[in-house]
Amino acid sequence: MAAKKKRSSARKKTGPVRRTRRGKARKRHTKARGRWKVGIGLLVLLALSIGGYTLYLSKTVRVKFEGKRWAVPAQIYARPLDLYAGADVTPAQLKSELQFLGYRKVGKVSGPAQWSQNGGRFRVHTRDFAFSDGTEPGREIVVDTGSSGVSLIRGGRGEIDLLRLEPALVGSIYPAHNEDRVLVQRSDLPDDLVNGLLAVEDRRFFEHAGVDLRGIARALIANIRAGRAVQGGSTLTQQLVKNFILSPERTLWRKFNEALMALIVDSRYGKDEILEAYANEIYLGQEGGRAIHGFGLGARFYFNRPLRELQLHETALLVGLVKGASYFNPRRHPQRAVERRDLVIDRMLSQGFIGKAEADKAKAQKLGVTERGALHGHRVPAFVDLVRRQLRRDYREEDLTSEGLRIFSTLDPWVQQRASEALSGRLQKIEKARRIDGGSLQGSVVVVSAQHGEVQALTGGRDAGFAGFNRALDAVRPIGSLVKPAIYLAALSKPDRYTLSTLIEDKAVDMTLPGGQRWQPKNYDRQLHGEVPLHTALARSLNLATVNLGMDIGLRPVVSMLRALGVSREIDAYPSLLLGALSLSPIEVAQVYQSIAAGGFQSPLRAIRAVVDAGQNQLQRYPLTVTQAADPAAVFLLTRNLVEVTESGTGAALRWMLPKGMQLAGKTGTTNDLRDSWFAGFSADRVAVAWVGRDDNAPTGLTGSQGAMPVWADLMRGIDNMALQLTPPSGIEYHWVDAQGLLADENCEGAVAFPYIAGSQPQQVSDCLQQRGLGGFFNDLFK
Amino acid sequence: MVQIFLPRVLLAVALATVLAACGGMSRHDRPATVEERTGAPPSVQQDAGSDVQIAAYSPPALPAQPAYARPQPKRAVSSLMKRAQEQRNSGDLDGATASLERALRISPDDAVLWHELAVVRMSQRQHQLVEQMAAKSNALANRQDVSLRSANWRLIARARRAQGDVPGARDAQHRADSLH
Repeated sequence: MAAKKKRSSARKKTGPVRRTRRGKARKRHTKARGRWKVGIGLLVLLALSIGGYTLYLSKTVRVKFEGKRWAVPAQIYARPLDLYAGADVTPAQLKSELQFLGYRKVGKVSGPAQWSQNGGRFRVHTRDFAFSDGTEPGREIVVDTGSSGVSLIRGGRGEIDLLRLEPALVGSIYPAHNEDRVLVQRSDLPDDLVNGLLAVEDRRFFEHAGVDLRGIARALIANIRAGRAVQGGSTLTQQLVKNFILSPERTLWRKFNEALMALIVDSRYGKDEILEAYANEIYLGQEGGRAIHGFGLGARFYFNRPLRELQLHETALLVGLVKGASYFNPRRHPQRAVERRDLVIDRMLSQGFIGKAEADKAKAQKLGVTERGALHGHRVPAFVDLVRRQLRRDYREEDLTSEGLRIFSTLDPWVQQRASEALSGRLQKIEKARRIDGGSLQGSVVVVSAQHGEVQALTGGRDAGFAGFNRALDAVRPIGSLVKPAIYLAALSKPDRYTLSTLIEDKAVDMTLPGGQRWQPKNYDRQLHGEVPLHTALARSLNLATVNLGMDIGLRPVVSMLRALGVSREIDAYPSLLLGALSLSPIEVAQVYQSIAAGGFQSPLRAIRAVVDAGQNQLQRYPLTVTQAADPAAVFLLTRNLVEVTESGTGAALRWMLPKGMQLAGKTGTTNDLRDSWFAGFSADRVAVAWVGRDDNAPTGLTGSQGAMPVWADLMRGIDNMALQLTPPSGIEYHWVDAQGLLADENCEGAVAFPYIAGSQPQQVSDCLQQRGLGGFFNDLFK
Repeated sequence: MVQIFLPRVLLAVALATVLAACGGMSRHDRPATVEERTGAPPSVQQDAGSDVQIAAYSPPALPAQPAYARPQPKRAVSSLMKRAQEQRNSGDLDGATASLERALRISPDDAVLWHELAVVRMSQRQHQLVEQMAAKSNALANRQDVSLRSANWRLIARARRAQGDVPGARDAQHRADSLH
C-alpha cells in the first residue's frame, strides 16, 4: 500500500514533463496499469482464497479442538477386593490381585502401588481410589494371610477392620471405530515423557510456530547426506494435526494442509494444550480390532500401570513407539523395541535431559511389558458383553462410548480366571482321553453369588480371550434333567401330598402327545425301578418316575414353578417339558439355580453395581433386590436332595473330584443323543453352571457327569466356597423313617432322619417299631 | 492473519515435496494372534461315571458342622454396620444401603444384616422390598432369635399397611406379637 501511494504522489509532481510525451506514455502506462491490475487482482484473489481456505481450516480446527475432543470409552472395573481378618483371600489370590492391579513387587516398599512379600506376610502400599461411595485413601498396610485366609491387617495406626483395594480395570466400551483410550491431562504427563518427545520428535517444540523450518532444513540436509529419508521434520503439532484431523493418505495437498493447520493450531492454542492433545491422540498399538490411543492407555496396555508410575525406561519405550507402533511392537519385536528405546534414552542424554548414570541404568532394564495373558484389557470379552447389554437398557450407545463413564461391575477376576482355566483345561483333557477331535468341544461357565445374584465370572467359550459367539448368553440349549429340580420343588411345595420319602412309581410311560405323536421315554439305564422314594428318584435322575410325578402334579404347576424361579422365556407345557424339552442359555440356568441356592429368594442377576460419570457423580446404582420365589421350607428339602445328588446320585463322582467335607448341591443334565452336557450346582455362597456341547449341535458322547461336571468340579476346587450348612428354616422337623417311608427311630435298621415340613411326616409306623411294641416303648421310656 | 501465514505456508508447500516420504507414524498392524490359555488344574483321580450311579445313601442325622466353615468376619461386618448407621443418621440412605450390601457380600447369610437393609428400605419407602428382605431375614434367622423375627414381622406389617394391604398387615402384626 505504502509503495503505491508514493508512486502516485510522484506522478502528480512530474505532471508537466510527462505531458510532452503523452501519447506514447499513456499507451505504455495503460498497458502497465493493466498488468498491475491483473497482478493485484490475482494476488487479492489468491490472498482471499488462501484466507478463505485458512478460515475454513481454522474453523475445522476449532470444532475439533473445542468440541468434544475425544470419545472417552466407558471403563469397566472388576469388583474391589475387600480385605479384613477372616477374608478368604489366600496368598496366591492376593498376589494375583496385586498383579491385576499392576502393583510392582519390590524388596522394600517405598511408595504407592508397590508390594513386598515375606512368606504369608504382605506389605502393600495401595493407591488412592475414588469409589462411587467415597475415596479409599492410599496407605501402607501389612496383611497376614495363609491357606485359611487373612488373619490380620495392620496399618499405620494399628489393626484395620476393613479396607478395599482399588478395583482392576478389566475393559472398556469403545465406539465402532475401535479407538480406545484412557484420558490424561497435561499435569499427568511425566517430565521424562515430555523430554523424550522433545528429544526424538521435535526439539524446538516450545520455540517454533507449529512448523519448524530449522527442523525441516536439518532433516533435509540429513536426508540428502544419507541419500535417503532418515529424519522427519514433522513437529509434534503437525503429527497431531495429521492424526487428529486429517485422513491418513500421503499426498502433497495433505502435507500442505497439515502445515497450514499446524500453524493455525499453534497460533490459537498454548503449547501445553497441544501437548495434552498429542498425548491423548497418539497411536501406540493394536490388539485385534482395538486401537490403542494415547499415552494413558499405552501405559496400561504395555505395563498395566498408570502413566505417572512409569519409570524412565518404560516411558522411553512409549516415546519410541510413536515412530511406529507396529514395527517396534515390544511384544512381537522385542529386539527392535529395545533398540528404539535405547535410542530415545541416548537422545535424552545427548540433549541434557538426563544424566549418564540415569541413562545407563535405564538401558540396563528389561523392556518390562506385561504378557498379553494379563487379565487387563480384553481377556474377558464375554463378561464385558454382558455388562454392555445390561447398560444398553439404561444408556445410549454414544454415552457409553464417549462420556468417560466408570462402570463398577461384579466381576471377580480370580474366579473368572479359574473358570476359564477349568473350561479350557478340562475340555482339552476330555478330548484327549476320549479321542474326540481336538477343539471340537465347546462350553461355557457362569458363576454367580448365591445370595445376591452378582455375576462373578462368565466365559463365552473355551478360549476366554476370544470375543466371538457368547455361549453364556446366546447358546440356548435344551436343559435336560436340569429341569427336574423345578418339578420336585413343585411337588415338595405340596407337603400334604409329597415329602422326600414319599414313594413314587418308576414305571413305563406311554402317551399320545397333543400332536398325535406317541411318547415313550426311557430311563437312562433302560430299566424300570418300580416304587422308589421321591428323593432317590431325583438323586438318580430317574426319567420315568419324574414323568409320573410331573403328570401327577400337573404341567401347570411345573410351568409356574419354572417361571417363579426366573425363566422368562416362553415355556411349552408339553409332557416332554418334564424331561427338559426347554431350551435355556447357561446364564438363564444360573438364574434358576440362584433362586434355589438362595433358599427360594430370587435376586435378578446383575453384572453392574454402579455407574459413575466423568465428574464422579453416581448416575445409577443397581441395588440388591430379592423376591421370594418359593417356600423356603420346600426349597430346603430340595437342597437337601440336591446334596444327595452330589454324594450318592448322578453326581457322586464329585466325591473324588472335590476336597473332603466340601458339601455342595447340584444336578447333572444330559440331552438326547448326548448333545448337551450340563451341570448346575451351588455352595452356600456361589452358584455355578457349566455347559459342554458342540456348536454344530452334534452329539458329544458325554453325559452331564462326564463333560460339564468335571469342568464344574475343577472350577469349584479352584475357588473358595462356603460349605452348605443345611440349617433348617423354621417349619422343618427331622423324623426317622425306614426304607419303606414309614415312621421309625434311630434304632431301626436302615432308618434315616429326613427333614419334613412340620406335620407332613409319615403317620404310619414301621414294622420295626411295631415289633418292639410296648416293650420297646417302655425301654425307650426308661432309657 | 493471511499475511502472516503466507510466506510460511508457501515454504511449507515447497518443503512438503521433500518430506512427503519422511517420518510419520505407521498404522498398518495386523490383528494380533490370540494365544490360547492352557490352565493346568490339579489332576482328578477319576472321571465321572455314567449318569445313573446307585449307592446307598445315609445322610447325617443332624446337619454337621462342616470342616469347610470359615471364621466369622465379625469386625469387618460390625464396622460396616456402624458406618451404615452413621450414614442413615445423616440422611445418606443410599450410602447406608451400599454399606449394608457390602457387609452382606462379606457375610451373605447374616439375618441381622438383611433386617437392617429392610429397615433402610423402609425409610426409602421401598415397601415391597422391605417385605421381601424381612422375609429373607426371617428365613435365615436363628429360631431362638425371637426378637429379630418379631422385628421382621413388625416391618412386614408396616410395609403392608403402607401398601394398603390391611388384612396382610394385621396377620403380620399378629405373628410379631405371638413371638413375644
